[in-house]
Amino acid sequence: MAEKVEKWYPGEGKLTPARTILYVILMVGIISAAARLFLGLGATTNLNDAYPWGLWISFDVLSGVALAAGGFTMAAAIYIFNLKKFEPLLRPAKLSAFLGYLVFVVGLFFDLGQPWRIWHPMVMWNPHSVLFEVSWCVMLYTTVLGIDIFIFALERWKKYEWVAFLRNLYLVLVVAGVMLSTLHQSSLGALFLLMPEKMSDLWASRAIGPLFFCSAVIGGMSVVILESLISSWAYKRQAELKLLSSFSKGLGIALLVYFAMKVTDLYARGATVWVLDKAHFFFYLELFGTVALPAILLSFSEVRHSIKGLYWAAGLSAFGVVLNRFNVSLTSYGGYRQFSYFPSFIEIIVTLSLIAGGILIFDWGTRYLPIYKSELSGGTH
Amino acid sequence: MASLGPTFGRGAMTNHWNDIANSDCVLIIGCNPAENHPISFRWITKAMDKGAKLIVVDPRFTRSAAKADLFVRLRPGTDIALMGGFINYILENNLHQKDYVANYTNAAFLVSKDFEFHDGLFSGYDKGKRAYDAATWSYELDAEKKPVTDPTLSNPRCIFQLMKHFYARYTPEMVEAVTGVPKKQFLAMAATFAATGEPGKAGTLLYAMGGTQHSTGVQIIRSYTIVQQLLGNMGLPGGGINALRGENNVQGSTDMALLFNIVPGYMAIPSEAAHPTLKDYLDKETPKASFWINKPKFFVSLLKAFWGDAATPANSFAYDYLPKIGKGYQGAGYSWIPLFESMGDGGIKGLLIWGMNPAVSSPNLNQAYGALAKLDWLAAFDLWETDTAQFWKRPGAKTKDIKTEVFLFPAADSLEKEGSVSNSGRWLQWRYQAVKPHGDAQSDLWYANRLGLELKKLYKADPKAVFPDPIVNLNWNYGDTPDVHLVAKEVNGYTVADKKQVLNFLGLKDDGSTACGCWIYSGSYPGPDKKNNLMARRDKKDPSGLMLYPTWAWAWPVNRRIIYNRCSLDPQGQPWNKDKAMFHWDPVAKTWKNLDVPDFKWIDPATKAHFGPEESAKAPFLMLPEGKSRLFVPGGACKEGPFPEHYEALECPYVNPMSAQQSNPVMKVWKSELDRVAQICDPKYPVIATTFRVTEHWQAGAMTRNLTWQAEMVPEMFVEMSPSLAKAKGVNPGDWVRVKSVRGEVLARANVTRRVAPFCCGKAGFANTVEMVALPWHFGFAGLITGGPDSRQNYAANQLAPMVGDANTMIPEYKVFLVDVQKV
Amino acid sequence: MSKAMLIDTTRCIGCRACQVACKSWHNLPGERTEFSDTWTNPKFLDSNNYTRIIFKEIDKPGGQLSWHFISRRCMHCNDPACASVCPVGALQKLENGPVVYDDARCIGCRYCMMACPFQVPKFEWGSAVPLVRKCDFCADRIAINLAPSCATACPSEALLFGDRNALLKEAHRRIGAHPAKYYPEVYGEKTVGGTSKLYLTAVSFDELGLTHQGFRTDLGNIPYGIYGREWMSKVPWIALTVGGLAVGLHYFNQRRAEVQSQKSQESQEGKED
Repeated sequence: MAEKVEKWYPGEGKLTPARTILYVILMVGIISAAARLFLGLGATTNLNDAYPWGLWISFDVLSGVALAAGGFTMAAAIYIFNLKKFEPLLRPAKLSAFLGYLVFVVGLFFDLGQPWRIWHPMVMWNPHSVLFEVSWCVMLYTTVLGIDIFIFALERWKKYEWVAFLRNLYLVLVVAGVMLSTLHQSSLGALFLLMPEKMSDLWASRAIGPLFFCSAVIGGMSVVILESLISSWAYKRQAELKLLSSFSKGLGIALLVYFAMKVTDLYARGATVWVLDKAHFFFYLELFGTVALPAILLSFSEVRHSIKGLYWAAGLSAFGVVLNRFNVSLTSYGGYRQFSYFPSFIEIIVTLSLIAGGILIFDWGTRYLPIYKSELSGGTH
Repeated sequence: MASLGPTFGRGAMTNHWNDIANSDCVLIIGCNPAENHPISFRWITKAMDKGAKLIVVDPRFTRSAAKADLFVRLRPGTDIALMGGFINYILENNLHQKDYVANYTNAAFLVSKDFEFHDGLFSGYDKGKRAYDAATWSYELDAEKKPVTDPTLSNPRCIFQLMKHFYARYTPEMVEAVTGVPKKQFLAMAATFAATGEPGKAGTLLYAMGGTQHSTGVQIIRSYTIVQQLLGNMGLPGGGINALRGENNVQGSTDMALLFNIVPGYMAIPSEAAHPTLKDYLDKETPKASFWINKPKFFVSLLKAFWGDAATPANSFAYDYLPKIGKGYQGAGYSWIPLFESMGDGGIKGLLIWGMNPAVSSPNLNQAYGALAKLDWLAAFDLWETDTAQFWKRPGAKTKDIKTEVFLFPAADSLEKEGSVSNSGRWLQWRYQAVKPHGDAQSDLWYANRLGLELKKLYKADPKAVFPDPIVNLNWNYGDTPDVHLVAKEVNGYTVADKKQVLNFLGLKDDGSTACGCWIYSGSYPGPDKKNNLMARRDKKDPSGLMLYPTWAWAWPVNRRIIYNRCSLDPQGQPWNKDKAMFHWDPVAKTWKNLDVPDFKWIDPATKAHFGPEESAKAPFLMLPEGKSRLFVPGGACKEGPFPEHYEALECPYVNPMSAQQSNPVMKVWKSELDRVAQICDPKYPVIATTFRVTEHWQAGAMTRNLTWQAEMVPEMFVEMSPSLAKAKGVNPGDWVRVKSVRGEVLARANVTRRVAPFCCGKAGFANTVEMVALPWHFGFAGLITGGPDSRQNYAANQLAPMVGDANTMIPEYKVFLVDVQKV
Repeated sequence: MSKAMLIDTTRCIGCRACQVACKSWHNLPGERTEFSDTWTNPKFLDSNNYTRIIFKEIDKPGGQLSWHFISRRCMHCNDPACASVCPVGALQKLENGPVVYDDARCIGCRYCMMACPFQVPKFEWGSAVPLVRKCDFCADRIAINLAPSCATACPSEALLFGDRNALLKEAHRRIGAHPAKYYPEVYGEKTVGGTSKLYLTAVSFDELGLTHQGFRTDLGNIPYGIYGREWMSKVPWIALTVGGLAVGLHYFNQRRAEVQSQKSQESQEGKED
């Protein structure tokens, strides 16, 4: 076993230029975050009374969580739908999901006016609040993911009896993870059920919960594909093209379902679709450029079987999910007319450093934890 | 006040604030109660709830106008033309209250045969002196020296007919040509308010500085009074002519003679020339009829209050101690303007400024600053270091050339001291000290007391003092730390021998046995204890249901809430409006039942027998010798003439369409280098300017510009201008513009709004359009906010206003002058 | 009994005593402002300004000018969206009317600001430890039977404090008695399920052009909190369904796979056989 463990590391921890840049971004981000803590939100962000939520909510929270949906998607595919062949994609998906939620939690921490009260929802309950539910789900789900990652660590530390013990609970963890994810992924959309009057008609839907859920599945799947492609490129491994092209079929189907849901929803609500303004530009970009287009792309076998094709299709889909979250929470949000919002340098750098931190931890994780071990040691239950 | 006195006998708001709610129609002209008397709008709104109509006449669309049923945009300074037209409308259409006019006004009196009016001038004008000989403005007297009357009002020389003839020239077309008010609108206004001429209806007229701050100010108010007399609106609940005083104790200040021409209680100040002895004064100043026959009692009691034991019958009650008014500066007394003219001339050496800020509020400020700089010393008593207290370091001042020594004394604010305030409705309301004065601050009374004691000491000690007696002998016993109750009790009056408070002014004597600080306040503190302080009453009982609240505080005179209240009854003693009756005459029992204090002869104080209504119908205006209110003011009590005639403001872009007499023929125009005025229709200054106040700031701004909560609402100096003027000048909303008059200039931000608009006036064929701008005058150069971002700027609007005054009161003409507007 | 305030804007004279009274009672600082072209000042509601008068000049149909003074503040909804969305229950609707805020609970997530249909809650952006601020209907005064400070200061009784039902009756009485003076709807009577601030205006808020300054007329009569609560009521069922399905599908698919692999084994075995 011990010899095999050595091979879990797919690369060296050298200070490559890429890592250097990431570290620099992270450092600047940490300084900026400290400034945010000591100087306050007003001084360091461009948030205002008309735009109380900005980049950090749109990206760190809403987009981060959607893109981190890969964890539960893969778990569901493998354990619930028993698609065992995708098991090699599971561990990196779980790690990236955990990091996605970490980004969420850290991002939220800096976004809160009173970050040290982040625990309040645990003891101060308002069961009417969607955000209350989201906080609980996220907290529990992050714990589930944390246990998963902890299992990897236990494997690393060769505590196999502990691993075996925890594996007995595996079904409970998977079901809990799927359940919690379903709830909060859709509930993040449901946050916006209360503000239809402030949003563009294009997104202000009563069905926003299911739409968020579906697009989160798309986000998770695209990220799994991208991550596999990128890590194989970064660590100079052979891409698991066969597996990915099979998986991308699923993404294509998810995109089609999502497209159908969107169109049905717009039609049912009688939303004005054919107008040319800012909101509609983003809408067209989102629906046609990042839902329809990748779906069409993926319908071609050549695309599914080419690395470039998969990059494009998954990249567009992932971008589409992010764009959707921005559209819902920011671009279509109508505050006071006299106010406008564009994130400040500190907001941008903190977000970038969260991403950088995520990548660095992922990089570290893949080297020190048995993330890509499945290809060596075979499936684990 | 100088027009209400000669017209009705007293210079005060005839009704009171709450009473406005009883009105059927409220005419607001020359004031802006929604902004400057916001509490009054409580009562105006209540009246409107009951169906009253609200008419607002103003050059600007104000917050009051926003609430009006009818807004009439009047060219500033043309009130007399509008009211003249209104009088003509009432008479032409026979809408006056006939019984009222015939019985309660001097309409039936015949006027001297020699009285004439021709092309803007009354008979007796002396062009050289710029004054009238008023001999011909008199009643025709019969053999017994009693005025001849014609109760049928048909004699062509009776006042009614003269007035009808006089105002026949003020046709609706003429009104439009002079005031810029479209004929249709004028007629709508006239019809609405004239409806109150119906017996039983009451219309009230509210005015303030927009009416008075003109070179024709007194006559403007006179024209309002004629309308109210014709419509029979005097003395009724919901009627009257109500001067809204701009400060909660201005009424008190005039009652207590803060004016230059009176002593407390509206008695003329003795003059060097006319009243060398007490006998001269009492003989000349005491009329043969009216309640004023008691004046010697009030005047002697006043002297006794001033000088106590030093005032004896032998020395004419120390009459010689009382300063007499001389000619004053350039023969014009010592009102506001001549004071400053004299300071500038080096005549006045020291100045005590008490809660006032003339460095912002005085007209033609640059002249005023020059005057202040000539003083040896200036002492300012205020809550803040006001613009006046730092005039020597104002923007542009050559500080090192100013030798004036300035003292600043911190004053207690209204919550830090006890005492009474007299509101506009003549209510004396007692206020308590809520907290001790902060820091070294002291009440005004404390300072005055200290000053008095110190002066006495200095004069006593100085062997070379010239005529120290008036000061050394002053009756001044209020303690080291003055007791305000002692002052209040002295004001009420007492018997000298046993120091017993008098019940009211009927207890005053002219033999020196009583003392009284202000006879009209007599009755406010009729006993020795604090419980006798009627000003402190807070009982909300209202037996009449007319909001008279007779046991809330105390109103002068003798707690009378509505003055001239005999006019609320017909000559037979029955109320014009049974639902709003204040008095009930029982013809069978021959007794009165009173809900207000009668302002007429109803009871014989000796026998306690009640007089019938016929008796009081003869003299519903007790303070006037003829007993009737005056449509025509005889004898030159109003210096411009017995009837108000329209003249243009001194600075005016129009030639007077009414007559060849362009401006007030008796207006005092000053002769000094700084008294520059623009030419008539001056092409360099083509825009009319007027000044105004906003709710958010208080007068000269010393208080509110230092309070953040006020300052944030109206933080910067601005000038209201019409969109058409802004377009012509290339000005965008919010731009800084320079407003220039011949006297000075001020920077202001452009408030481009349709609330102001150009006027189209002038004789038929010569009509032209003139723009108007309006400036708030609260800003200056000192305090938390000054009016703009530039600390080197003075943002006071009165740098523009001229130092010209009305002939009677010398009130400055703040409300009309000429300017130009330039983009900065 | 639920308290409310009838804001009859036709009676308002724009004196702004309410603004000052509010700042005085709540001890709020004045701001360094600039000239405002409309006279409305400060320019926005914010954490230091809980109420303000909006000055609005509009043309009457005949071309005549009219000038309106509209008091803006928290509406104190009967069923407030802010209280519904607050994850920690920092905002609460009291039985007697006010929607109040608990400084000690708030985490500063600003969801209330996002959710409020009237855009009322404001944030202390200037502070390093910011909280949410808004009009509290002077709940502390109401608790001791005093009227809110703004209503106490209002000279023209444009702000009338009382029982909601009685005020509604009064509002309709006024509309009935002066149909020419009033727009025939009481803003706040039904808006988002009713509010404790009831507005009477001369013309509609659409005509006043204030729909984007806090007086939207397209909000409907359903309290927005309902949408969140509706969602939340489904959450346990979704959780159970998803959980159940997940477990069921897991065993079903596992069994199917086993059966399949058995079958294929069998067939393989068969072939081999």
